[in-house]
Parts: sequence; structure tokens; C-alpha cells
Amino acid sequence: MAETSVKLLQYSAADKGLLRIDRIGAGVGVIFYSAEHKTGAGLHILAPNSVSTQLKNPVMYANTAIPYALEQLEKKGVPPPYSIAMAGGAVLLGNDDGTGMGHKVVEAIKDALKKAHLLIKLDQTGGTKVRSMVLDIDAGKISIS
Amino acid sequence: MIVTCLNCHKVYDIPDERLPQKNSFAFPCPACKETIKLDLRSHSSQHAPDARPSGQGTGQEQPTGETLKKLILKTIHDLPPMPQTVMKARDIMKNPGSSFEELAAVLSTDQALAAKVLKLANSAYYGFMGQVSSIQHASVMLGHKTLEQLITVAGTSNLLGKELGGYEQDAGDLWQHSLGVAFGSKIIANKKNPALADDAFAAGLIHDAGKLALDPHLSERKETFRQFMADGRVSFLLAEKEILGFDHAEIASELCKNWHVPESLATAIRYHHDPSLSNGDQLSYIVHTADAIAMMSGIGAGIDGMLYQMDNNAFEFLGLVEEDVSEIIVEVVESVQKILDEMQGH
Repeated sequence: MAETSVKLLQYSAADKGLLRIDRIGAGVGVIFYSAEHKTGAGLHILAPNSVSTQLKNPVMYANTAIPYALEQLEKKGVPPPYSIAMAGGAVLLGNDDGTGMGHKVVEAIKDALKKAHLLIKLDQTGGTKVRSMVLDIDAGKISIS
Repeated sequence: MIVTCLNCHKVYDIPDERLPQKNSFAFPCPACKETIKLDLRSHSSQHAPDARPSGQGTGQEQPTGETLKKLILKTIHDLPPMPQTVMKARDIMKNPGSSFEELAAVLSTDQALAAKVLKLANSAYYGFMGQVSSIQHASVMLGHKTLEQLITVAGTSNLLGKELGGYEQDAGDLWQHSLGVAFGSKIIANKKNPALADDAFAAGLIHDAGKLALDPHLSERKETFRQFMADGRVSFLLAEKEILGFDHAEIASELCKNWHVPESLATAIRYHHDPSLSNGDQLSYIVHTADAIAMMSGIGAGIDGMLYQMDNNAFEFLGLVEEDVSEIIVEVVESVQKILDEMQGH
């Protein structure tokens, strides 16, 4: 089965096989799935909000990554509705990593999705676990471990 | 029969003739009163309360306490040495009076290392794609400091590139994490104290080398670790200490002696999870913070994931603010990916 791996700070899309995002720590993995077009897209975002619009890589920040993913999906001819899942936003043990970064990335992604009028179907964020997400595009199933 | 209490680590030598004629028996530890259970069918010791959880096999002998500590210390001596070429090359380049000929002579003794150095010198990270044709050329174009960093990276890639089954790190995972911490340490050092940047890079690169020594023993006790960590509230460092007798930072100190790693680096490696115990050592705080940042980004994460604590004063000590973290993470991830793309031939 074909497998597409979404790397850190990258956007990838696929229309068959598996789409996976591994090793999600304080960053957040987001998967968009269109059942109608049998297409999935994933992002691995590591930072909350950027004030700059002149970014080399729009996937770095939540407030630029989500619009970028939606634009790419539209270009591919895959408009909403999407089933959306997100995972990650973990914090170092004791819920005090000195930055609160995981929580901030999660909130920034939720805000960006809200602005785009999109709802999250599956949300597994927080805790101390490093997670993986897998979308089975043919079956339309998303699993988070 | 040697029996060790898992609770207090007290070791008892019970003469075989005093063992009861039955399959198993239990007795309270004379020191701490915890129950010590023995399975005599395999003539192995089993130690209360959690030494061997259900489903982990009962026929294998699993040393604990002092016996295990001795075994782990022996493992250190069985590990491959840090390539001598790396240490010699670092020494030469630290000496302002050294010549290129001296460096070339050392690298000529390890052609595989020299080839890797050239490959890295031509990677996107260093910005000389395809332009560096020899070690001499590299020393001119990159400068001694960068070349020193490059030799350290090339010299440790095989050693740290192994699969660590106990830590659930695939081949290359520890290497990726180590590179992440090395780059992060260098970035932080450049903000706090640029004179430490090269040492920070080297310390970051080998900060988790202690895992090489603990891995086979952790692998044999993975289920015990899982149970110990089940509620997600205990640090992985404590689990190592309780179950194996050493944590990976502590055992790395022994490894550093074997590898003749300079004292300043060895201190940072020893305290990279507890910089507050380092008597204000800047390098310890730098590697600690870079390690936390690499863990947050998930680079090379294993069974220990994010089960470590960050020192609450580390940011203040280093003069960092929250906003710096995103910036450092992005720079670290991009640096690691550029190096890996070249090393993996992409």
C-alpha cells in the first residue's frame, strides 16, 4: 500500500494508500480528509502565530499553515467539506516546559480553523505523549496512537 | 544464589543448601521488609514488588541492584570507542599554532571519516554544494571552527546511528535527536556566550550517549519500564535509576572517561537533565534547554518521549524568552533536515 509521510514543517497530500504524521510532540499534526474526493492532506506545525507574512515556509506557524493547506486543497480541486483531525500539543512532564508551546500551537490551530468555518472531528491533544497519526485514504479512517 | 531486593537494592548471597526444596518461596527483605519472591525452577531471583511483571517470561535470569550495575559498567567497556581521529582532529584545531598538514595527516588515517567530512562539507547546510573538493579546500572554505564541527558530526554518525530497541528508537533516531540537540545548543550558546558555541555543539551531539550503554538492559526490562511509567507522571530518568540503578546521564559520565571527552563537555552531559546541580555551569543549561526543545519538536523521539522535566529557571538563566523557542525550533529542524538529506543521499 502506498504510504505518504508528512515531515516536520511540511504539507503533503495523497489520494490513495496511507498518509501518516509521526513523532508529533509539542507541535501539532493536522489531517484534512475529503470523503467525496478520496483525498487526504496533512501538516506538521511547530509554532503558534507569526506576525510576519514574508515566510519562507508557511507551514511553520498555525495562522499561516491552515490557510496554506486550504489553498492547496482548493488548487487540487478538493473543496470542503473535510473531516479534520488534530493530535499533538504535548508538554514536557509536569505540564511546565517553561514555554507552554504545545498548548499555544493547539489554540492557534483551533482559531485558524474557526476563522475558516471548519470543525474538528477528532482532537487528541495535550499530555506528555509523543503521537502518530495515520489516515487510511481508501477506508476513510483516521487513527491516532 | 545471589538475590537483590528491588526496593532497597540490598544484595544477599543465600547458600544453595539453605534454599527450600520447592518451586518458589518468598521472604521479607531484612533491610526494608519488602517481600522478595524467588522462582527456584529456573534458579533465578525475582524481586518484589515489580521486578518481573506478568507476561515477561519466567525462565530468564535478570540481574538487579549491584549485579546489574556491574553489568552495565561492563557494557560501557564493550562499546566502540569514540573514533580517535575525531579527538585528535579536535585537539589540533583547538591549537592556534597548528597547521593544515597536521590535520590532513590525522584525517588520512581514517579515509571513511575524511570522505564523510567532504560529503557533509558539500551539503546544503554548509552552503558549498559541490564546491569542496578536498580536506585542505574544506579548511580554507569553511574555516577551522566549522571543520571541527563537521569532523565531530561525521565521526559520531555511525556510533549514534544504531537502533536502540530498548528506547524504541529506530536506526538513525538517536542520531537525529543528537543532531537536533547539537544545533540547538549551538544556537543558544551563540545567544548567551558565543565562546561556548563549539563545545555546546559537541556536547549536544553526544549528550545521550549513555543510552547506548543502558539500551540492552532496558530492552530486557521493557515491560517493567512500561508499568513503572504507566500513569505518565514519573520521569523516565527516575525509571532508569530505579530499575537499572543508573540514569543515562549518570552512566554517560563513565563513558566520557573512556572516550577521553574533555571535562567541560562531560559535566554538561552529566547534568543535562538536572542543570541546577551543575553549580551554574552554562554548558549544562544550554544542552538541557536544547534537549527540551528537540524533544518538543519530536525529533527522534523514543519510548521516553516527553517524559522529562524542564528546569524552571533554565530560560531565565540563559536570558531566553518564550518567543525564542519557536525560532530555535524552526532553525533546528531545518538544519537537521539539510544534514540528513545529504547523509541519506537525498
